[in-house]
Amino acid sequence: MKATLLIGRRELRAFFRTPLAWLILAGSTFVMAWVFLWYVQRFLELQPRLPAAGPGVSALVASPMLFWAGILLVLITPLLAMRLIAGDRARGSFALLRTAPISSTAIVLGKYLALECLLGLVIAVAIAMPLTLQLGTSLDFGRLLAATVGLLLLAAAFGAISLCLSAFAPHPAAAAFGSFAVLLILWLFNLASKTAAGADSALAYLSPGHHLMPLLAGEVSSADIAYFLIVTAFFLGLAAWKLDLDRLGA
Amino acid sequence: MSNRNSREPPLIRVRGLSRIYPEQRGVHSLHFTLHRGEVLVLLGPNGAGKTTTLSMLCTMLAPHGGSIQIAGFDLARSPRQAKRALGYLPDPPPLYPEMTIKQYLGFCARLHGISRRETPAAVATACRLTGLTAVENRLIEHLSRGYRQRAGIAQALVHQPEVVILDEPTAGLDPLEAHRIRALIGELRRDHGILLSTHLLAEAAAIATRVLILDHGHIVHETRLDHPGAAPLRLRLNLGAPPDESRLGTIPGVAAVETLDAGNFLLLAEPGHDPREAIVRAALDYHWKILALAPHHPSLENLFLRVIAGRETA
Repeated sequence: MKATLLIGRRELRAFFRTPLAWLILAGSTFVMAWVFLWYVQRFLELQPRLPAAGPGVSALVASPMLFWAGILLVLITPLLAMRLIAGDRARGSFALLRTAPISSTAIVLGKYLALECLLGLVIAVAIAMPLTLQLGTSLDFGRLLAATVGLLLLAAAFGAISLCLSAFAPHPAAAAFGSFAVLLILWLFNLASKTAAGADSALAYLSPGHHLMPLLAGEVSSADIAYFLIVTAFFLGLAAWKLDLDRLGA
Repeated sequence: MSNRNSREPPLIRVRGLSRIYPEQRGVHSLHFTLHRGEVLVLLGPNGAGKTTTLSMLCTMLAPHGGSIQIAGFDLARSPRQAKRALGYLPDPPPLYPEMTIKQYLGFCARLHGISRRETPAAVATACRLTGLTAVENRLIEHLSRGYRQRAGIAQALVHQPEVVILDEPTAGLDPLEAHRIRALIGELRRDHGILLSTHLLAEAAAIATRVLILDHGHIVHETRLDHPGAAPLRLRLNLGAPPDESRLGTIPGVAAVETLDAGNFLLLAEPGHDPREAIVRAALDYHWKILALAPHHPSLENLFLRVIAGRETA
């Protein structure tokens, strides 16, 4: 546990010493602000035509905007995760962790912790934008809370997948491309969400987007939460297993 | 194997260590030990298995057979205790360029279980030993190659391990820096057992107390360099008016004589005897015109070439 925190803290500090991390944070904030303002403007145009008991600003601005924040995570998680293990290995510093008296699990969890702190920061910025609407109207906080939990769970799963690919890839660039491809394909499974009969397809069930949507709409179900937790645990376990496997391989 | 620390259990005990790759590469059934106060050098041509051996000792690779004990702990059964007794400098050194020397060594110390309270003292000691105190607040990315190598060595020492393992510690350094690193290794020897690999013969000759020559994954030769007096003395003698070879053999203390060419002889002394004075006296008495008399150390280079070339022609 001590080693996990130690590694996590070091990685987090190292993140903020690279221009890439600042660029990603600045870029994602800009994109989210753009999307947010676009939805606010559309809401202002729609508002006069909305019935009094109809959907409010939380449903028409916050939820769709946070869905875009989810798509943004598909792009930035691989870039943030690529240097964590593959980058360390490529420049030779991984030997330090490998020969220290700590387990592979502690290494993986430490790096994961740093990654999740950064993604958490991105999500905090995303949530802060709709929260400012509280100044002029009243928000559905239950719905926002569910959406926050949804995004955090999405970040947990994406972080685990990207870190796992960082453990498998020989170079950081391969890790970034690989995990971007995996996240994108998983996300696109959602497009196949309805079969001809109108039921959810099996492919859609694998898509994180499919499980994120109800949470963004304020519907919390244990099945969706379980999906994210299982994906997270599976890929973190796989990453730790790969690090142990490296000792046996050629 | 006699050693002045032989009463103390060895810091490293390797038995039957193997790791097999296709096409006969890898290492095959290595046996060796390392004691405190020793600098054991693994010498061999590229691809001989030096780095593979060191990687197994440092748990970067799992062995296919055999056992490794470090400071009495079995590496397979008690990896954490064994790793705590071990400092490792891989090639290239495992540095984080975005950290200062002080931050980096502090991180390394904590990673090896040094408490937060003891860390500053441990870092200061490692900096002092490796001559990094003046640059401890500089970023590693701004340091010269020599300083980076020293930071790598400091990293291997910061938790005060009993065993220090160095993979090609002077690779890519200029001669002055390489000399400084070798002097440092000589100092470290007092408190640690040091195992290092190199393909530089001069380096091995300069710092080793014992050399293992590796070829194709086998230990093909082992030689001690720290007790030259224990072996019978070999002398090179050059005479202007040489007598018969057998006449030289009658000088007291001389065990054998070999004629190298006209006037040049190689004399082997009887164990524990130094016949130099007797040789000079005989040369003066019988007017052999002594031109030169000097101890003859077969160089490590000769030994290396003989062992490796001998295997290749065999």
